[in-house]
This record gives sequence, C-alpha cells and structure tokens, in this order.
Amino acid sequence: MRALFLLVSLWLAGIVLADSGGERPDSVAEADMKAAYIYNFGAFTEWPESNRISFNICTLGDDRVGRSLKRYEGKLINNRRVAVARLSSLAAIADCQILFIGDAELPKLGRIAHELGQQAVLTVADAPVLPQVGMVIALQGQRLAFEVNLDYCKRANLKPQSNLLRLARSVRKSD
Amino acid sequence: MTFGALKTISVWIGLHLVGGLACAETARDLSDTPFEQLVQQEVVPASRLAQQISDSPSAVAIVTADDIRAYGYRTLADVINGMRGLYTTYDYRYQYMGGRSFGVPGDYAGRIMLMIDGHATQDSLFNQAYIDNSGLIDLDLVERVEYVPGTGSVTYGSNAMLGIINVVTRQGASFNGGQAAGEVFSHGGRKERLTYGKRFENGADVLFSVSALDVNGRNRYFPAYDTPSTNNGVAEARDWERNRRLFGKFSYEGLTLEAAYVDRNKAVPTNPSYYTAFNSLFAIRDENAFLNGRYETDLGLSLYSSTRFYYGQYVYDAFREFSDDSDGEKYGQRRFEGKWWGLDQKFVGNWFRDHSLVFGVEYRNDFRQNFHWRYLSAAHETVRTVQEDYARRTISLYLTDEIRLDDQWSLNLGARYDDASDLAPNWSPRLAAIYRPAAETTWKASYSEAFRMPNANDRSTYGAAAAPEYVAASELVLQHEFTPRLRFTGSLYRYKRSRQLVYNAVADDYLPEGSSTSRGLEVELERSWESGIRVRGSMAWQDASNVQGAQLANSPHVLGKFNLSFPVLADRWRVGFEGQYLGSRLALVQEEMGGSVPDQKRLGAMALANLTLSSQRTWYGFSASFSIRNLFDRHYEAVSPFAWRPASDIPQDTLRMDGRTYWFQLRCDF
Repeated sequence: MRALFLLVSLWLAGIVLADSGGERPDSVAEADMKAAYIYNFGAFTEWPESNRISFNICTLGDDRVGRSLKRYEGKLINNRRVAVARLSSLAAIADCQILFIGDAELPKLGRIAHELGQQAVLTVADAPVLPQVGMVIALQGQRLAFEVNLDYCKRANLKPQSNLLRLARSVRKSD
Repeated sequence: MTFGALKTISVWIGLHLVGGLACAETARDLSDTPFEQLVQQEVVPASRLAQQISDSPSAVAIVTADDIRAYGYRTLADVINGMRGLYTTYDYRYQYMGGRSFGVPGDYAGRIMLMIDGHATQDSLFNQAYIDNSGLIDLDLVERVEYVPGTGSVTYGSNAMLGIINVVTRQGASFNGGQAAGEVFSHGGRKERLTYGKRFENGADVLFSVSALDVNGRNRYFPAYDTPSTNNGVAEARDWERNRRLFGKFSYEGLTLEAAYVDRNKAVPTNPSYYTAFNSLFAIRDENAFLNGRYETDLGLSLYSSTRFYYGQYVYDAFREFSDDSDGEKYGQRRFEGKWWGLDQKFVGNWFRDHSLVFGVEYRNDFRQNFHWRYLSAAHETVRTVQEDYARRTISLYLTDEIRLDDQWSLNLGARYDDASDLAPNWSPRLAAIYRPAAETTWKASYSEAFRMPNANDRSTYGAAAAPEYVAASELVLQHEFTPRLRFTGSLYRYKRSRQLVYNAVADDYLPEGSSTSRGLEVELERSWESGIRVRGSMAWQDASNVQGAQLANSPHVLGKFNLSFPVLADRWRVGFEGQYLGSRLALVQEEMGGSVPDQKRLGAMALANLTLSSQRTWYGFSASFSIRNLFDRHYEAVSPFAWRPASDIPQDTLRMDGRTYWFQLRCDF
C-alpha cells in the first residue's frame, strides 16, 4: 500500500507541476500552421499553364500535416480547386503541384528529386534540407519561419511572388 | 483502494478537464488569415513525446527503442510489464499477459493479437501470442511497441478481442553495418547475436539477424511436492532453456519481404498433470515461423493499395513421463502442427472530401491443424497413437470510413465481416467519435464489438460445444498535452464479454452461456526534459468479474507503474529505474480432494523495482548495458495455472518467482 500511495502522490505532483506551467494564449498547433503555410506557398506562387482541373497538394511521410491540409480542400489556387492527397509511395508524386515531405521520408529526397526532374512541383520539407527542396519550414522560437530556394523554383519554372520572398527568413540564390 | 475512490477520481478528472476545455476556445480557421499575420502568430510546437501510429480510438501505450535500451527490456513480456494497466504471469513454460478483463493464464491465448510489422503472429492451434523467449523477435531489432487495449476485430477479425500488441521492427539503415552482441545473465544464461543492416544508394534496405540463447536454469522448489518420495519438492536441473532465432527483412520501393523463425526448447520444472511424475523430464518445444510479403503503392492521388501475402507455421513438441505405467504407457509424446497462408488486399480511398475510406478483402487458409499424441512403453516402443486433424478457410471483408465533420469533430465508423468454413458468419462493428477542442486536447469515445473463433485446440477439447465468444467494449479516452513535453492520458472503459464456455451440470457439457463484465479507469502522465530526463507514471483501477460474478482470478484491482530514466556522467550513460506495483489478486480455486474443501488463496500486493545502466555512446564501436531485475530481492509468488492437488493434498495455487537477477550485454558495431 505504501508503494501505491507513493505512486499516487508522484502522479498528483506531476499534475500540479503541469498546472503551474501557466495559461497559454490561444494558439495554433504546429501541424495546422504548417498546413496554412503550405496553402499560402501555393497561393503566392505563379504557376505555369496547366490543363489540370485540380490543384494537388500532397504529403508524404507526415500524416498530421496531411490531415490539417484537409480543410483547404475545395479552396481555389490559380483558379483550380485544391485537392489533398496523403501519399505512401513515390508512384504518383509527379501529379502533385506541392509535395510536402515529412521526416520519415527524408531519406528518399534524392530519388524524389531525380523522379521529378524539372517538372513544376514545389517540394517542401520541415528539416534543414534547403539545397534539395523548394521551400523549408522551420520552428523558430514560438513561431514558424520559412526559407525559399530560388534556384530550385527557377528550374521548376515556379515564380514565388515578391510578398512571399519578403516574408521569408532567407532566400537561397546562386547568382 | 476501492471503487468509491475510483469514482471520486474519475469525477475529479472529468471536472478538471471540462474546466480546462471551456477556456480553450480557439479560432483555428487559418485559411482566411493573411499570410503576413500568420507568420507573426505563435504555435504550439508538436509533441516531443512518442506519438501513436495505430489508427485506433483507444488509449494506446507506446514503448520506443530508447525505452527498450534504457530499461534493459529483453522480452516483449518485460515491455508489457512496463505498460499502463498490464502485467504478465510466468509458469516456467510461457509468459501470459493480463490486462483489462483478462488475467487467468488460460484466458490469454486467443484473445490478444501480436502483430510484427502488420503481420499477425499467433499460432493457428492455440492462437497464442508468444511474448517470452519463444517469441519471434529479438528486442534489439525493435523500433517501437504499441499496445492497443480493447477490441480490434473491426480491422483484424478473430483474436483481436481484448488487445493488440503492435511491434515495428527497425530499418537496416539504423544499424548501418554489422553489430555483434554478447550477453551473460543469472542462472547460467548467455546469448549471442549477430546483426547486419544497411540502406543502399538505390533506396533498398536490408536487415538480417541471427541469435542464440542458452540458460542452464536452476533447481526449483515446489512446496506441494515436499515429500521424501518426490525429492522433497525440488525439481533438479529442470529449468533450462534454449532458443535460436533468425530474422530477415528486405525493402525496396513499395515492396517489403520479411521472414522470421524461432525454435525454443524449454524444460519445465512444474508437474504438468496428475498422471505425470514430479521431477521427471518434461520438455516442450515451440517453433514459430512466418514469411510476409507486402507491396504498397499509390494508384493515382486518391487511392492507396496494399497487397499482402503471408505464410506461417507452428510446431509444438512435448515429452513427459507418467508416474503410473501399469497400463504399459510410460512416456507421452505430443506433436502439434499448424500451417496457414493468406492474402490481404487493402485500399484506402480519398475520393470524397472529408471521407477517408479503408476497405479490403482477406482470405486465409488454415490448411493444416494437426494434433498427434504418441504413448511409449518403458522400452520406448510405441504403444498407442491418437491423431486429430482440423482445417478452416476464412474469407473476410472490411470497410471503415473516417469522416471529418469539422475542424474539431470526426467520426470513425467501420465493420468487418468474417465468414469461416466451419462457423456462421460474423459482423464486428465499431463506432467512434473524436473531438479535438484545442490543439492540445483530444477526446475519443468508442463502442465496438469483437469476437474470437474457437481455435483448433478448442475444437479438439470441447468438440461440438466449441463456439465463438464475444465482447462489447465502450471506452472514453482523453489525451491532453499540457506542454509538448508533458502529456496526460486517461481512459474509462467497460467491457462485457458474452457466450463464454461454462460447465453446465444438467447438460453435463460445456455450454456458451457465460457472461462477465469489467470496468476500470487508467491514468498516465508522461514527461520529458530537454536535458534527457524522461519520466512516466500510471495507475490503473479495474474491477473484472468472472462468469459467476465474483472477482476474476489473477486480476488485481490496482496496478501502478513508474519509469524514470536520466543521463549521467556527461551524457555518456543512462540510468533507467522502473517500479511496478501489482495489487492483491486471487489464485485459482483449488479442486477438492480427499478430506479437503475447495479454497481460493489471495496473494498479497507486491512492488518490484528494476535498475538499468546503459551506455549512450559507442567507444571504439563498443557499448554496454547492465541490469538488475527485482533490485530489492523481493520474494514473491505468481498465480499458478494449476487447480488440482498432488498426492500431498497441498494446493499448488502459487509459483515462486525469481529474486534479484543480473544481466550484462556488450555490443560491438563494425
């Protein structure tokens, strides 16, 4: 019984410690904010002409962001309706306009780049891999920041608008 | 601790959290917020604690490879003992698991599913999930273990009745080369392992491992046999154990091939039956193997496909000596064999906005379920053989729809239809509602029904009386992340089992007319610090009854777990301390014999502690772990599966467990 009471009191102590952590202001989950960023990347980029009906935002290896993106389905980017696809393989990545690559699939970055070539697919990651993708989202203190790889965008024939570049933490450009 | 206390605590938790929710009103529709404002807004960083992978609306418990190392876990049974609301019972043959609404060793097989990388590994005769040295996997190869309490028949059909243990193995890339490991431990034990894992440039990943375990064991004392004619209760050198394991995995693009094999031999010091001789050789052998091939791909943007083929086999051998051979039969030999294969085609369709449809079909053929008994004379000549054969083919269809109602509410509706060749078809439904009022808080409420088909052993034992058994489960789960490093999990549940087999004196047979109810509450707090300290504490209160309405045997009302690990010596080593509390529990009712009356012993509550020291870095490729289990050398007993009395008329309702034991492992990466 002594051990039991010890455990209960430890647990209660934990609750109390947790409560003393203080109230936080209304805030947004990291995954929800990443989804909002990704949607805005799409909205503030000039896309090459295409006869596709939908604007496809895909995720690979991060279901949380994939779920958060669902609420943007049906909104318009480039006059096309947004469709969200949570992919499990590279089989259909060429059909995406934006491809978000989560941690779990980062080892495949090389093959993704090879597979996409110079197609107009904007790749986004949330790890320090900017040289290999179009944009990177990173946690900076309590806020999210992002970086743009203009070289990548140029190769893929994508034109990020000036207000997007203005908000970016850094822009990678070789010339 | 009583159920009054349980109610008080649950009400308190309810109030506490409803209060917390009321002020968690958020405007989370970010889609209309200008980007300039978004970049200024603060976010709640994603949790730094391990997240569940299983898509299940219950309170999942997670143990990661880091935990396995930090707490010196060596078998799945060790992992399970560290999880909220779970415990295991050992009878020198197998480790049996106990948890919500099950605890009697005989209740375990057939009601818990053990999946390794999505493949169900229970054998096809007893449907037992092997979690000790007879299990298929070395824990050094495990990335994480998730325990999903409650029903899973909606996804997996029969056997996923009271819980699912999900094991995910490591990628070859995580070894990135070879690793050799040697272990020595108490009771003359040693183990060797050789592993090679690598990811190649083209993305192919391979993992291969082989291991061998040998334990001398020790002399075991059994008070019920403490008579001069039965060696004063000592089973001498009848506790040895050996196993050999092989594991291989290859994955490339969407294709994964995986195979595992284990051959475990164990001498059993207990006397298996009234007719056998104490302190004579009783040896068992369990051989388990599987081959699993899976191909996953995306058929366009809205359709995912997973095609799976599997083959499995199981062999059980046992040898025993009878005390009375006046009928000319001195030895008994058993060989049971099961073989099966199956195909599973699963799709996930995202054609409709706010709907995610999972559907598929599975075919399974248990084409060999063979029981063979052979009786030998003192001169080892065959006197008599008995043989039984069974088979079963099952076709199953399943459909689940995950419906997103709005940013806060979603529903999960599903059902699975199983049609076995020897049984009436069965439906297993599940309804769940998930509510996320804030980024940090998730509520899940679910109702589900699950079942278990009578296995080959039931058909052999009960004949025509063998029938499916059912459970209806309701559960309310709350997860709240106070910070990304502090998580609360609470679960309130009620299980009603029905159509359990009970002996009916009028019919003089077993009839499926028993039912029983269990309810309980579990709470857990988990916290980590940036400095590397990790702590997890949980309490579980449960009230499980048997078919007579009395307290279920070997099912304590209270279970407590406490795990703490922290780095020491400039992060070079890590200390892992584990405390486990098991409340008092009832032994099995002992059958009457001679002048005695049936009685049922109550085992006192007990607390055990384990301590592990493990290196965090390699030194010229070397790393090491050292564990002391049962740190304070507590003498304790486990509920025994035996309900009969030997000639001494002393009940054998408990078995003595080990005191303090030591374990040392040295690893070398090359």
